[in-house]
Parts: sequence; structure tokens; C-alpha cells
Amino acid sequence: MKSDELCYLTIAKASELIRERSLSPVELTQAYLDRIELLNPKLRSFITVSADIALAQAHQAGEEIAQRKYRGPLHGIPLSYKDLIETAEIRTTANSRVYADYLPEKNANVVTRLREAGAVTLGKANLCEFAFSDTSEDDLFKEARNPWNQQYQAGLSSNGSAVGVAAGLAAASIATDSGGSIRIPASYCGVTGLKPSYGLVGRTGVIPLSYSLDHVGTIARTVEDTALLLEVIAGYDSGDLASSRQAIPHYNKLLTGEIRGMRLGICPQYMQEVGVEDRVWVAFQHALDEFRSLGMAISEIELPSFSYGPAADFTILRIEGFQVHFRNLKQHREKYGVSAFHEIAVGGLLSASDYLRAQQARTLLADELSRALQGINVLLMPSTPASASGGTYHLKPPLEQKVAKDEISYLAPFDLTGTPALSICCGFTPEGLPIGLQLIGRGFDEVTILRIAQRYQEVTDFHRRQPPLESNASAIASSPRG
Amino acid sequence: MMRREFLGLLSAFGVAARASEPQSCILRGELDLPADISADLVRFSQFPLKQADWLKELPLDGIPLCFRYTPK
Repeated sequence: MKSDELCYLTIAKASELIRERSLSPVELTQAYLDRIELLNPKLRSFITVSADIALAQAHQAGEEIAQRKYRGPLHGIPLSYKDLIETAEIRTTANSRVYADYLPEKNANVVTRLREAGAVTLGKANLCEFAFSDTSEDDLFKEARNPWNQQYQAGLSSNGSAVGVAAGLAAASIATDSGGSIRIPASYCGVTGLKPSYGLVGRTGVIPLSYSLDHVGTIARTVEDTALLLEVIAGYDSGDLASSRQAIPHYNKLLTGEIRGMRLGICPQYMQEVGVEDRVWVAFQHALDEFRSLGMAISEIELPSFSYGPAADFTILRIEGFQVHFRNLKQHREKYGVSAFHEIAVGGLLSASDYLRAQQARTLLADELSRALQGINVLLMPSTPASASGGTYHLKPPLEQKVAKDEISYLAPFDLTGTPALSICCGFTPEGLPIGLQLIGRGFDEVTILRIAQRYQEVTDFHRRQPPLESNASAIASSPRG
Repeated sequence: MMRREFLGLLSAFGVAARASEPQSCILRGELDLPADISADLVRFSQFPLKQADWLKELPLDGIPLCFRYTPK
């Protein structure tokens, strides 16, 4: 198998080959490292590549498998981590000068779980500063670019994670979402991004944005790979006060259950309020047709308070973020980029009553969604109102516009409600940019959204398409050595 | 910046109503921002403050203040 083909294997397929010893973890890891060397200078997916550590871990995995100590489907699978997830012996910068030389002593809970499952750490994925800012000229590391067209944005904030998975630079990535930060880049890069239920995945060792909104989740190529990852990272974390003690189902085994007869909901009222680009609307309608042909019924619901969701999310995010950063803002203000400083420090201008009002709004939204989900199994929305746009970030809605018609509008409400939300690719624009579809489920019912999305990926091929990038083979052929 | 200067700055950007609120004072006093940075921040803050203000339109009477975020 060619090196490029190895880099686009799904986790499910790669693990099958590794288990039967037709593929070694070292061969797979080296293929990713070669491709990172080739493409990372252009795409900026990784802030830090931990090649030596990755190869050592891959060797260890290979030896264990040879000794019949196979740990499971992630054994020998190379992953990346958003660079605010702490990794022992690998610097964790949060793309900020404040943490430029930070070398954590311990792995984050989620890294520990994946290492115990045998996964290989390729390195640390790019993000905007503290996952908080728009990108700005003075960022420590410049933003990742969209692999489908480098003139376009890759999406805030887990952009390095999504770019890497889409470009074949990692089998999957672990990222975070507090207002859409997994699902925006997943949508713009055409990959599968899961924000699990609040509390399902422990956050110990993750540099926080916002205590009550932060979720750790996955970016992968397929729903099946997402299920394999979730099965390992979900579960109680004693270091996280919000961690749930829910029993963890066998997500992967439950993917193939019956979906015929399930009811899907759409919310035309909210879509009208937020707005949606024509071509995203068309792709959304095609997806609805696909679900109907799979035997599911579509019904309309109303979520009248959701217009206030983005405002409530950002109010809580900024106030909690200000508290998280207060000491550093005071001691190291000069180390913050302009954008991150503004986004975080503005939390100090918001009041206690703003915060409490936003938390009340959150309760209102959660109750509204809970009632709506009693009559349907899953809610469908576009992931973002439009596909990725060009240039760098300067998107801000007009000052007087009440409903934020921006890229978080379909996503942030579900960080507030804590319900699981998955973004999958449901089409491409005429320019070849991916379009995202979002499935939202009941609290802790990841199984249903994964099952429905899995059926969708079985009958469509959007998730299998690869961005037009230079191949490992062509680079070798054109090099002086080639 | 001194408190009076900061209040003037907030007022100039139409956010005077918030100047007496405790967090504004914390930001002004404890972060000890130079005037130019404070001006930038207050200018930037207009949209976030508007967003927070829109929440006042929601009928929140009787909605409990719940700090348990586990989804239903």
C-alpha cells in the first residue's frame, strides 16, 4: 500500500490491518510523519510534531502486538491533540506566548486514556490563542489553512485538528468545543466532529476557556472512527467536577441498530432567524431526502428562545474566561495577542447580573430543547450558515443585529444545553468546499446520533473525498533524491 | 487609569450604565490598563455588551438559577 493510502485509512481499517499484522504501527506512524513534513509548512496543522516520541510509542505498540498483547482498535493508531490538551514531555502552548515554553508533567485525562489504549501521539494541533480569539497578526503561531483551498479559512478554534484529519496528517484528533470549536472546523474541512454530552469526557489537564461550557470531543474521518474513539475517552474523571458517572455504552457495536421509523426534527423558525446560504440550504434539503429514503420521518419543531443562544453562550464564555485568565492577564498582559486580550478582558466589563441572566437563559433553552426532543429522536440543523470564507477572520455581525448571523449560531446553543452534537459532511460547494450537517441528540444519547449518521455515511460518499493536495509519492519524485 | 478617567471613557462609548458595576471596577483597578489599551477594549466591548443586554428581553421570571449543567 502506498504511503498516502496509509494516511487516509480509517481507524477501523488500519486497526484491522494492525491486528492481523499486515501493517505495523511504525510503518503507519512514519507515513504520517512523512506527510506532515511535506504538508505542514503549507497547512500549519501542527504546532509541535513529536516525531521521536511517536516513533518510540509506535515501536512499543508493534512489540506488544507481536507478543499478542493487543490492546484494542486504537493500538498503534497515530493521533493529534489540540494544543491546549496537556501532554507529558511535549510542550503545550495553547498558541499563546503565556504558555510558549510550558512542558506539562502529566498527561491530560483524555491523553492517558488513549495512551492506555495504545494510541500514538503524533503531536499538538494548531488553534487560535487559548481557543478564544479571532486570529490576529500577532498570534504565536499563524492559523492553519483549509486543505480544500488554502485561500480559505479552516474555522475556529480547533482548526489544526480538523485540517490534519482532512489532509491525512493524523488518523483523528482530540479537540474541544465551547461555542462550536469542534464543529466549525469539522464543517469547513469536511470531516466528522463530535461534541459529546457535557460531562461525558473528562477535562482534567485541559487548559480551560469556560468551566461550564468546555467539552472535550473528537475530530475523525468517519462516524465509525468517532465511535471507536468515544468508547475510549468517555467515562468518569475524578479530577473534573462536572464529570458524569453514566455507564458508557459500546458505541461501535451499537452503530448498526435499526433507524427506520425514527423521527427527525428540523427548526425552520430558527433557520429563518439565523439565515442560511443557498447552497448550504440545498445540501441540507438533499440530506433530508436521504434520511426520508432511509425510512425516517421529518417533522418541524419550534425553539423560540434559541435566538438568544449565541448571546448567552458568549456572555458566559467571556465572564468565565475572564476569571480563568484573571491572574495571567494581570501578570502577563503583554504576552496576550491583541484579539485574545480583547475577547477575554471584555469579560471584566460584564456584570454579575449579566452572568446570572445568561445562566437563566441557558435553563430556558435547555428546557425548550428537552421538550422538543420528546417528540423526535434527533434534531437536524446546518453546522454553519455558510461554507468556509476566504481571508482571515474579521467576521462580526452588525452591532444592532439581535440574532447573531454568524458561524456559531447553529452550534453555540448546544454547548449551553450540553446535548451531544455531531457535524458530518453533507456536500460540497461548486468551488469544492465542504458543507456540514449537524445532528443533535438527547443528553447522553450519543448512540442515536452516531447510528443515524453512520447510516448516512453508508449511503453517501462525501466523507471519503480527499482534498486536492500534493502526495507523498509526487514529492519524492520531484525532489532531487527522487 | 484613574476611576474618573475610566468612567469618562466608558461614557464616551455609550456604556456608562455599566461603569458603576463591580466587575468594571475590578478590570479598571486590578488590571491597571494604560489609557490606549482601555480605549481599545471599551471600543471592542460594544458588541459583547449589546449581546448581554439582549438577554434582558427574555422572559426569565420564574426561571430557576440552576448551576447543574448535565443535559436532560
